[in-house]
Amino acid sequence: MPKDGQEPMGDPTALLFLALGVVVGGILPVIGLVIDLVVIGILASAGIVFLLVWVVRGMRTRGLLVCALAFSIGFVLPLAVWFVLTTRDILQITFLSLYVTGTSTLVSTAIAVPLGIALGLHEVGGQRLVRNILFTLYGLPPVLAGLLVFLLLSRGGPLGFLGLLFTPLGMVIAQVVVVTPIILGITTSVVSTVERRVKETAHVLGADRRQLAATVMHEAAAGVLTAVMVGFGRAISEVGAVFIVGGHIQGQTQVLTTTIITDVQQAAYAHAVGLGAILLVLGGIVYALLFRLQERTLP
Amino acid sequence: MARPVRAMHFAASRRYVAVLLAAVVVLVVVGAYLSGVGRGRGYLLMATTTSTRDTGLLPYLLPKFTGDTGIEVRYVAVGTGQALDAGRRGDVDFVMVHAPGLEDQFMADGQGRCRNLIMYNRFVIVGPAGDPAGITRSISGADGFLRIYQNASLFESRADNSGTHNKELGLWAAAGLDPASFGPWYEKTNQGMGNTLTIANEKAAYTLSDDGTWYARESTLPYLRLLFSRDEDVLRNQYSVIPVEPNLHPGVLFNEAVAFAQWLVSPRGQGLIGAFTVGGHMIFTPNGVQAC
Amino acid sequence: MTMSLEIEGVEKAFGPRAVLRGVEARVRPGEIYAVVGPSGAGKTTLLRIVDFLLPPEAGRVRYDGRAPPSGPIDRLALRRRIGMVAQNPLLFRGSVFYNVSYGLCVRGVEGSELLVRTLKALEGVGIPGLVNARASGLSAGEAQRVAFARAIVTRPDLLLLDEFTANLDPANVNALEAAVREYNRATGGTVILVTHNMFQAKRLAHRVALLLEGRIVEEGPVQEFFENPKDPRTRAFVNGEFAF
Repeated sequence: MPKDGQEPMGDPTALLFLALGVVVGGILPVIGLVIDLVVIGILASAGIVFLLVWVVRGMRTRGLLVCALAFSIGFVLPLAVWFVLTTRDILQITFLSLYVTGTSTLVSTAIAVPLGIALGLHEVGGQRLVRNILFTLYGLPPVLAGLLVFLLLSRGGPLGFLGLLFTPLGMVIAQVVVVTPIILGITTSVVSTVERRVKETAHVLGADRRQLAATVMHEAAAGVLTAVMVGFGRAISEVGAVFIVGGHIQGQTQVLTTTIITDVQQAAYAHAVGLGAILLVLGGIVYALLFRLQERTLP
Repeated sequence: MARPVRAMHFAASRRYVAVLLAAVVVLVVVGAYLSGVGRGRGYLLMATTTSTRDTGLLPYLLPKFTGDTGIEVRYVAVGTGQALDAGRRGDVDFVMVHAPGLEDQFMADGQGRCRNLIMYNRFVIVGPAGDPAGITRSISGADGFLRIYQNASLFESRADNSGTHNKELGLWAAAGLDPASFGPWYEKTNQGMGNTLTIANEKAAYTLSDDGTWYARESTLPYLRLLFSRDEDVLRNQYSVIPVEPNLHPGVLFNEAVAFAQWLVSPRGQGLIGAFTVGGHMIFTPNGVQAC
Repeated sequence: MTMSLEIEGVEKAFGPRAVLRGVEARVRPGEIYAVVGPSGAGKTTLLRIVDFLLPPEAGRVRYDGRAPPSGPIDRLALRRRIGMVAQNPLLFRGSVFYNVSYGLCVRGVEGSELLVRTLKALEGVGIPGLVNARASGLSAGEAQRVAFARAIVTRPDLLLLDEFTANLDPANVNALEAAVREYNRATGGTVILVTHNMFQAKRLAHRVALLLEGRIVEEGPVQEFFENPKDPRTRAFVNGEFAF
């Protein structure tokens, strides 16, 4: 919502800065990629400065921050596009990244949101224990989850007969283990803090149990979407679990994050930065869509 | 009177739920198909080391095998220990490693059906351009290590129980030295060859490398030079392929793995290995011995 | 459709504090029954007990002469015959339409019937133009009208109103009181009106009861209650002699 007279996102000024970023980011690679990296560093610092100014001085400079972000995104775009057009295998790696991240986020949402609503609605005696367990799982290192799933799916392990180690579906399983507690925890938190009066009002108006849950969910929709966004963020940036369970097999289980790791191992830094640019753009697009969706669920 | 535009609440949320569940089912089925569930892997899977990957040999060699036989080969590149463990678990069809001591143990445990030696490259000592320990004048690998010790020069050890690491320990022993007694100049990276070289470059330190990885990475390591290289038996980095024992893991593609092992030691395979170069250097010397 | 109510010996305490100490009341079907009394007398508590939101410590309430059912399905059916407008009611996130049609939605009403009944309810409270407005941006009076429309759109047999025009300006008070009257006339539904505003009780109710110190001290037709009360306390209350 606009405050203090500054413009919301989507405003022509922000788009202008986006275009400016695209132009600058498109010209720089012609000069030389090294300079590109230096400028990225400068922009990151500028971004941090803007952020501090915004936090300290309040909402008034929010418009400035939005324009700075738009510029940064525009800057990275040409690099990502150039990279896609000139690199082998990049489409496959990108699609697999999207597939693994998207599927694991959706599966985790399907598991965690109903569970979170149920947990948030019922003031059970074991509430504190449940919350303790949940928050411990927040801190579950993704690599540990990856290791556990690896041991589970390995042919020497209990689920070995499924043959899912070193496959995309195996990677999805590993990420689901990582992402579900996050979505579950935030959903539970958001649902349990929905005003008691909401449940009472729905109750008085004649809602049965199922309808009451749906109504609470409706009230908490903005918060639930936040949970999904945080879960997605974790999924798209995850590298340890998908490396261990996926094995980074060419044409099979190579994703953007694992390829960045192997690029660094082989000192192919420019390639790694290009992959990072694609990651940022992908994340940015998904978040833009989710924010749009969330706007409609705000009170 | 304005017509209300919002859909009815419960019907709308039921719709969202239905769409979500449908999407989940579709995506999981697609994933199952991509993962070959029920069909089995459509390709031969090998476990090898990051060093092998770093030489760039595999993208050169594997397509040629596929062209000759129609069998597709893919690989996971991990540390030597994990590669052999993948063989023990039956997660891969065969292993290609270069750690003779660990391979002997692997075979003694009955984990591999047979073992073909295929090629070797050389262990070399790389270090800072100025060569403060003066190892270019060494008479042997062990002598070079002795000079590093006497000069207390910074040295990066892989410390990951790989073939290279075991060779490094062997050289210290041959020089009559015990790494447990070394001072802080002896650092452990616990990582693969590529990362260890990067670290050595950053710190201008000595390290033991195989020449395959070295030549593949040379252009990215401006502060390092290849300082000692000799064709001694003890400095050979011997590669072997070992198909996993099918009696222990009935699901592995044993026949295809044997076909690949045989192809590698055939004149065709050996010729291709010998013709492989990195930056103008011939990396591997084919010395195939057929046991499969 | 309508409902009769018998409140027999209802007691309620919150911890050590006894709020209702044996309330006896008879509400006839189709009448507007006002409950007046000082603040804190327990009027809201009584309504909440009638609507199953609180269990009484002792005593019971009978609906159409019968005790409330124990099975959840029958309970829900009974609850769906009762509507309530609380003081400062909570509106759901979304549009006015979503809020007002909510009760119909949960009862499975759909399509054009849903549309028509919702719009009619909004017309009944004088705000048909707000149908697509966001519930969060309404003034107090508008919000209260929406809450009222939301409660009566399902044509409840019993309507419970808890200080439902408190803090509103006269225009809104008038509109809402007219809506109550019209609702009672058109459907014959029973209304229990809790208010501390005697004038409102005089304007709307058929019968009035005074709740004082946890008990109904007097209950009678509106004219008699105000002009010729039996209990001296009633007289004192009507004359404004109680300090609230």
